[in-house]
Amino acid sequence: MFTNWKIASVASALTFAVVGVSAVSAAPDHDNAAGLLIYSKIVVDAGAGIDTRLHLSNTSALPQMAHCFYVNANSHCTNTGGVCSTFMDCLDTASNVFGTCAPGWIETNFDIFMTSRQPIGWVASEGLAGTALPCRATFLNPNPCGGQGANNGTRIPPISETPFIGELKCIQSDPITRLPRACGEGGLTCANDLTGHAAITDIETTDVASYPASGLRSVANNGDNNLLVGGEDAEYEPCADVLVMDFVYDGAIDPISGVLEASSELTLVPCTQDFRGQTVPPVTAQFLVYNEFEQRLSTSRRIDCLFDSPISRIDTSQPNRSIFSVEIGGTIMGQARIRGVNGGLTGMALLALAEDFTDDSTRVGWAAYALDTVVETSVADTISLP
Amino acid sequence: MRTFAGQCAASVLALGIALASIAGTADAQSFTVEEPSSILIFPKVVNTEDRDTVIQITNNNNMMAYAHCFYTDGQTLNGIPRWAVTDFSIALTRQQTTTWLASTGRPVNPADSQTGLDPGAVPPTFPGFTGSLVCVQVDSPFDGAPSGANDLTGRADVDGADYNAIGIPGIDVDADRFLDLDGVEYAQCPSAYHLNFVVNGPAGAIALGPMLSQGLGDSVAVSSTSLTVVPCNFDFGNLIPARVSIGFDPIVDEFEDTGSQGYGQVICWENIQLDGAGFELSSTFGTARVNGTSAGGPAPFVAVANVLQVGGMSGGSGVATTNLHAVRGALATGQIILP
Repeated sequence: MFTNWKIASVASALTFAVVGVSAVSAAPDHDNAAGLLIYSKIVVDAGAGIDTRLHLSNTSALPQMAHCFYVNANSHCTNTGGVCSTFMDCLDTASNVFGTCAPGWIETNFDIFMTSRQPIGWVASEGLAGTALPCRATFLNPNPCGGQGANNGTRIPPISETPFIGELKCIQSDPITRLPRACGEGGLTCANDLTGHAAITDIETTDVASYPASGLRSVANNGDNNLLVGGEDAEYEPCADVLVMDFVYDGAIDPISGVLEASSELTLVPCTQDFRGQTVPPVTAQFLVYNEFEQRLSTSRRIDCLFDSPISRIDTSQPNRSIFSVEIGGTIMGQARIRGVNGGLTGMALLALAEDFTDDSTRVGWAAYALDTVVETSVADTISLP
Repeated sequence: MRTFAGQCAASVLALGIALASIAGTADAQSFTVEEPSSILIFPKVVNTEDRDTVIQITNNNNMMAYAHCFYTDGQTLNGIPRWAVTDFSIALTRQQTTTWLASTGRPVNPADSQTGLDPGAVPPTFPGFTGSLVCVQVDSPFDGAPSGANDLTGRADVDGADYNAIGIPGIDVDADRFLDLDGVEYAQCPSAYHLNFVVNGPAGAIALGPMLSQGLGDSVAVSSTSLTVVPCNFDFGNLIPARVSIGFDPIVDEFEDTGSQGYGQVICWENIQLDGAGFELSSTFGTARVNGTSAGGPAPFVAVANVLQVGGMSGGSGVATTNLHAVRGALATGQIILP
């Protein structure tokens, strides 16, 4: 009996030991300041009156620099060069021939220099540079804002075209090398001082959907241009193995108004990205969708770059036949568990209410929210910097 | 009679289950808005004339999950907090998600129009309710003991403004009714947050929302931010309201102008407008550290930020609610006392 107790004790001790070890791992971190921020969804559409306000703050008492990458995920027509979502957008009126809608991935990088504890904000369509910078040092006034540092060197470009769909990554970096700051011994001095929010605004209705940027905390950065995200030699905390989206089925009647129809958009960003070679290895996202009866349906989708789609078009071009449709789901709410195969994912969701969920022009409100995350295996992802 | 091998197998199985249950636990000493947890806190639940709240709770496990939930009305009547608590239990089948409206609750009635399996009798909140909801995972329905299985995630939609429920992961949970949020039994709550906001303008004017003023010419657009605060102590056994003093220090704008602002004591629940001299800064964007204190030391609390934008020409308005980034390492011990 005593032996059995000892076995149980060892098992318990081992269990608590593993609990302690597991405390080291973490998922994309909306909870704390971090060294790498991911704004999963930046939208600008001048025609529809949509723009995105971005907010980046330095929580440190010292000046900090962030090396940022806008990723333009627009698809373009092979014949007209215009922005498209399907080949139907690619009709060349001169020749009456449809072109192909080819997915694109264009990266634009820039630097942001922040003074101590400084917040910086800008509108994606406008950018921020020159005289608009709050703290511009001159020869006669090297400390324009009184404290340490200045914003000189900051050139946030406006997004390159409209409509625009893309993401933004900002990596806390060394101002000289433009590479991530290496951690000190034991990871005690890793640079994790950035927080951020984004607010997607419909300018005509003034409605706003705000979400916190996902953060990956630096845990053992060596200062080179290959950032290992998760895995055995992780320099940053891992991306999620499973993203959990609690959602309202597309077409479901909003319980509050009793009239409006709900629709959701899901945005997914692969964690592995090669900014040096300008490539993104594809990731397959597997979806397990549960309704309120715990009935399960599934689908999968290839994620080439940034994936942004109404949820009822993830698995079909006919929304009413989708497993994310209220007509198929049969309940108002559902849970989707999204697993990235061959790589981790980050993302966010946007819930909209409209008179007709298939018609954006009838939208009366929207809200953004972060996805829940589960880290199970901590597969390594890599971000390669130029 | 179980054999020795059977006991070994049981131990290994228990270890396996424990490993499976803790897999993915992030930073077990801290709160989370992103991972399944054993305690969910919805800081903002509203049921007023023109606003209502949709609650959604999900079981992330392949086993049944049970929760004992507590609505707390934070309304103040004549300066006195009501601190009215209403409790109920829910049961979720494997991977089940469930939902209800704060104004109507959810009766157990398979024949009604509510889709999905009824999780249990969820009472409605009474009209005018402004407060919080806390759900504690337990190991069995009806008066079950607290469980540290970390299976629950939640989301709230306050009339079109969504936020994630704040989760407190269980670590080494015992069966008593005193839930210590001390980093040993449960994770601790933060005592400080980073708040990014659009600042108020000088002389009490509300700052222009930059996009609205620069974009399509909605010339008199305004934007403002408020903070919903709930102390991370809940005495559901003795119905004693918890208190935390809130201060904003430092408040920094883009010109590195620095200020501070005390708010005073939050009892039970409070929605704090970011106004006052400390928030009259010179630029559009600001950041602040929000500190909770009590008796001179750090005090735990949870919070969400609310952003309101109003267009001058269009007359339209929009509101968003977002979770905050906590100040890493700024944690404090709280306690939940069950009835």
